[in-house]
Amino acid sequence: MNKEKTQEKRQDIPEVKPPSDIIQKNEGFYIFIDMPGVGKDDLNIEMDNKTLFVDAYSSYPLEQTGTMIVNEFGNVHYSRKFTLSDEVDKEGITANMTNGLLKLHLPRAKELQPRKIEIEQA
Amino acid sequence: MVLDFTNLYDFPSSVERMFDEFTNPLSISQRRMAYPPLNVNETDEAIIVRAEIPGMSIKDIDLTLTESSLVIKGERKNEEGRYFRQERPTGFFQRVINLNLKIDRDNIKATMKNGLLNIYLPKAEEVKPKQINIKVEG
Repeated sequence: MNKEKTQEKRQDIPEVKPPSDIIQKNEGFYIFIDMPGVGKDDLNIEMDNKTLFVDAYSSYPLEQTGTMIVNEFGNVHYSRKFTLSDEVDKEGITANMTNGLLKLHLPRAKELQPRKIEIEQA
Repeated sequence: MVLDFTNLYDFPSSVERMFDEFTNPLSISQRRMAYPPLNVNETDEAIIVRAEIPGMSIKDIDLTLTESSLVIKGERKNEEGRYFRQERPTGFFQRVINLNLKIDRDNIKATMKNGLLNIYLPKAEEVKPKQINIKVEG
């Protein structure tokens, strides 16, 4: 019953697309996603063939006492999907969650990594 | 060109807000679109300020308490590399919270968890609401 209650509650939580950066570096791609209020355990990352789904609920303690003077943010449901290119090594994706910032590292697929070609002299 | 008419449309409420600022125990100077977003809560004991600043550690955030205001300052740095998409805000930010009451300066606590900055400002003894017992003498 308790579970039902929380599910019901979550229906009212607004869904937002968290702001994200996509950066290319030599070793691959990085996706940075701002998700304040989300801990490591609240986070759900899924992947199918070409798409990466990031899904999380922020969990701020709700204020029981006192009066709210300024209210500019609250609990939200973060949800975003990213389409991956063939350049990404899908097996090698790693995620790191610190201080409400999710860092995804998407390494470049091995066969597409820049490679030096040896020139043989005849 | 973008013209911001919101101030005009908002005129009655902004006047109201101006008066509110005189009477409220604390107020915030800049409101719309300011970074970081704040939640301010007042209890009998303290004022609790919360701010969403993801991706920063508490060491990089500068908190200053002056005579009548609390200032949250910092800088969000850019990452090296080639950007395909940039939506996360970067650069210097500052927010000022005006406090029209006395704070117990020695017992302020600031913590950071999951990108949420939590500042606990206890009220000074003299501004806390007190119950006065009235003795009836017969």
